[in-house]
Amino acid sequence: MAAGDAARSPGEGELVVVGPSKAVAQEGELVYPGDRITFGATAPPLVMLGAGVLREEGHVIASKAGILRFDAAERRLSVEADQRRYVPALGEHVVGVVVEKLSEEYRVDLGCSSPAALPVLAFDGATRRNRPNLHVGSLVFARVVLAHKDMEPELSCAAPVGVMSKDWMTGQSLFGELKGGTTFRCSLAHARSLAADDRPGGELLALIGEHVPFEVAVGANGRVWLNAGTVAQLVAIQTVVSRAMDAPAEQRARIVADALARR
Amino acid sequence: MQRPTHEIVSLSERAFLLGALAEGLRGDGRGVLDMRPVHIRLGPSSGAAEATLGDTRALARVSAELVEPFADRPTEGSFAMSVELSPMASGAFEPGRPSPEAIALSRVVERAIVKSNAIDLEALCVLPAKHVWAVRCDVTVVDHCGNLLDVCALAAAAALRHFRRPYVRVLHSEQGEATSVEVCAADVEEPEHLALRHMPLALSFALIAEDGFSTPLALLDGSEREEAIASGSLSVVLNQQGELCALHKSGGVPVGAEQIRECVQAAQLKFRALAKALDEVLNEAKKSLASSAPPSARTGEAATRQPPSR
Amino acid sequence: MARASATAPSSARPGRHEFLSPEGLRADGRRQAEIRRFICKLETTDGRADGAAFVAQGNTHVAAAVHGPQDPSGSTRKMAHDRAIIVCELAMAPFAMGEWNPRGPSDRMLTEIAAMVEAVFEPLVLTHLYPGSQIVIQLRVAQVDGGLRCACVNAATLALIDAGVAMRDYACACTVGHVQGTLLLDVSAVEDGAGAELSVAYLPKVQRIALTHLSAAIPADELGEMLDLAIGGCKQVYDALDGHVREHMRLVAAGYGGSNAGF
Repeated sequence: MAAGDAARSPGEGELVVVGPSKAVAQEGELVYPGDRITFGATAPPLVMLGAGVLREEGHVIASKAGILRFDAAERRLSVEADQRRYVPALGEHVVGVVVEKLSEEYRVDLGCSSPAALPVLAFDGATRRNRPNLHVGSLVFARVVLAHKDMEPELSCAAPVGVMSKDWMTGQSLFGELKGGTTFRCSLAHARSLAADDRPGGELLALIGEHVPFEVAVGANGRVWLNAGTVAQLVAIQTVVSRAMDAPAEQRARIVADALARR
Repeated sequence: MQRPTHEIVSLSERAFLLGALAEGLRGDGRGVLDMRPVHIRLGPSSGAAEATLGDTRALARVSAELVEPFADRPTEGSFAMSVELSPMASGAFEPGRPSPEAIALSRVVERAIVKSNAIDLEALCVLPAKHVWAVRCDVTVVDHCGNLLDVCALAAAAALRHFRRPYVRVLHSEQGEATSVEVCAADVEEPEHLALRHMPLALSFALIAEDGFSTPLALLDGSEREEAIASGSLSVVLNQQGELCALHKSGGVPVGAEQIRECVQAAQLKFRALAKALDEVLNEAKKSLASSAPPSARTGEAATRQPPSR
Repeated sequence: MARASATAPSSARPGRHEFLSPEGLRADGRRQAEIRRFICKLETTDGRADGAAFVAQGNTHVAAAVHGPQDPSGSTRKMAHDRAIIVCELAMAPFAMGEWNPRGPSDRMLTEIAAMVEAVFEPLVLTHLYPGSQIVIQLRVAQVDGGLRCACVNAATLALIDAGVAMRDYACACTVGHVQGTLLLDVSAVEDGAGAELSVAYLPKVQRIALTHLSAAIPADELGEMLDLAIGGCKQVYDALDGHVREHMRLVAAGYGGSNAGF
């Protein structure tokens, strides 16, 4: 595969982006719709195409403007766009609101194009007789177990394989109803950042945690649930997150300290 | 980074907002009578303005055309107002015919301006029974994050005060009779501001009652999240002369007469800051207009021409 | 109770400064704080409507019919899972305002008043008793001589009572005019045209205000006085309206064997 007028020749296994602006892109750099992405030097290895990349006429092409990501462990190539509309993807953790209660399932709003189904028994240890009773308006933290463009997404609150499952009755299970607290919305990129410990969002949450203890559940659908000891703390945390997210990194610590020192 | 919530409000969030209010706090950290930051931007052309309250944003555009007056009011121009809730402002808005909400908004603002005689309609007359100005103000809401009325009224007020209509010269026949009119281009004759007696501004309260019927708490400038759990609103439209130009409570949770009086008093205090913000922006625009005008093209006569005084 | 005032709006048109004579009488013979003749009827149809009523406030005549709680199918409005929705449909006879002026369904004034009536009764009706249904209030205006909003609210209250829809309280409405510096209760079209009109809908038992609507500017410091006068007018309307409901129920109850003792 030709790398066009590449400024430098790509190394082994390195990603190459062929576009009008740029010849070689590193993982973590920006790509734009229509940019061709190839692996340099060696023949293209087997990669999984995630969101924002598609295959066309034998080439891999970016379909969104965003940051190019390559997960070496899963060999998954994707483009992280700063979009606000959620499109469900398998395995992602989401925060949703119950909008309808049916006999076999709850319908949950994730902010995507159609409500998702959450079977009433999709909780660890739930039986016909003994299962959580959610209401319209309840918040749930769940993972996406079915995501297909032609079908409505399905959720589950049961722990995935490899995670220790705890009965829903204990109140300690990873997924399930989120009681109390509040939610706010952010873009999907912000949500991903908040969910990753090594990204600015995750660092911000750790910084806040040094001042005030709080609980957080970050949904990949751009909904973030927060809970803290008092309402005043919750208000402060919520304002500080929205204010500090867009602030330069070096000012964050000061913004957080200013807002939370009094709490 | 915060995005408006266009979905249903979860039970937790509702409980949080009510719990915070019980402690005198609002979800976004404001006090009960605090407004979100106000920004007004004028231009680029005359009669265009953009107003924002927090993330709620509206654009206003004033235009005028010469029309024949109504037969029963030969010496009066007209003013009409329309508010469009653009689907780009919120997923809840649909294109097509104006919704009852859009109609209510435009009628409240229009009535507050027209019925309080804010615009001197007789000054819009050019040639009685023949030519009068029909002024209209079109407001488009482009971002809906709560409290549309205040933002629409503010954008309309800014646009109306900024607007300058072309100067019209009345041509006379040899007998001295006015026969026809000539609309002068801006570089020939200085355009004129509208003759405004005052300009009303709206201050709205979201009424939040725990069960939808108990005595509510009035929050100035409700955000979209607060409006989603509110059981009604009370809008107070005031002007600089201390007049109440509209008092709009369209159903919803009932409030005591005393609470209405308190809201009007609170609005009177907040009105000054809002009016001052608008004045400053308009003065700024006037200054930059004066400094940018090439002195050679403007005769002294045109520069001193003021809007007809009352 | 209001004293009868048979003056038609067209006759005895007062000139300027004649809205209140030196003797304290208005053009139609009323005093300052006196409402117009208030006539109402319940159960005005034997037809399909679940409730019907007629109200005449002076020369403003409104007929109301209530359908429901019924299935919301066919309604363009979205039903609510946990309560009934209130829908108001308002139409006006083309000659109602004195001049032939047919108003279509998209008329801005009618749309606004209909939305107001919906919003007044939404919290007042115990909608949570009728989940997933709709209650339709049909209003037909035969003629208007000021105070249209108020007559609509009063007619709707009566029709809802006749339909047996559960309500927390009555909604009674009355206008107060600010005409050439004087306050006049329950203004006619001529009086309203010369000044400002404040419409108030009041819940007499809860003692709170459901609706305020101001038609033109008034000095802000006179608002308190106007509200007090308007509430007084609403109470007069309530006495007339409630008296008629009691009378009506006494007759009806006698028909199906009710005792008079309770009324």
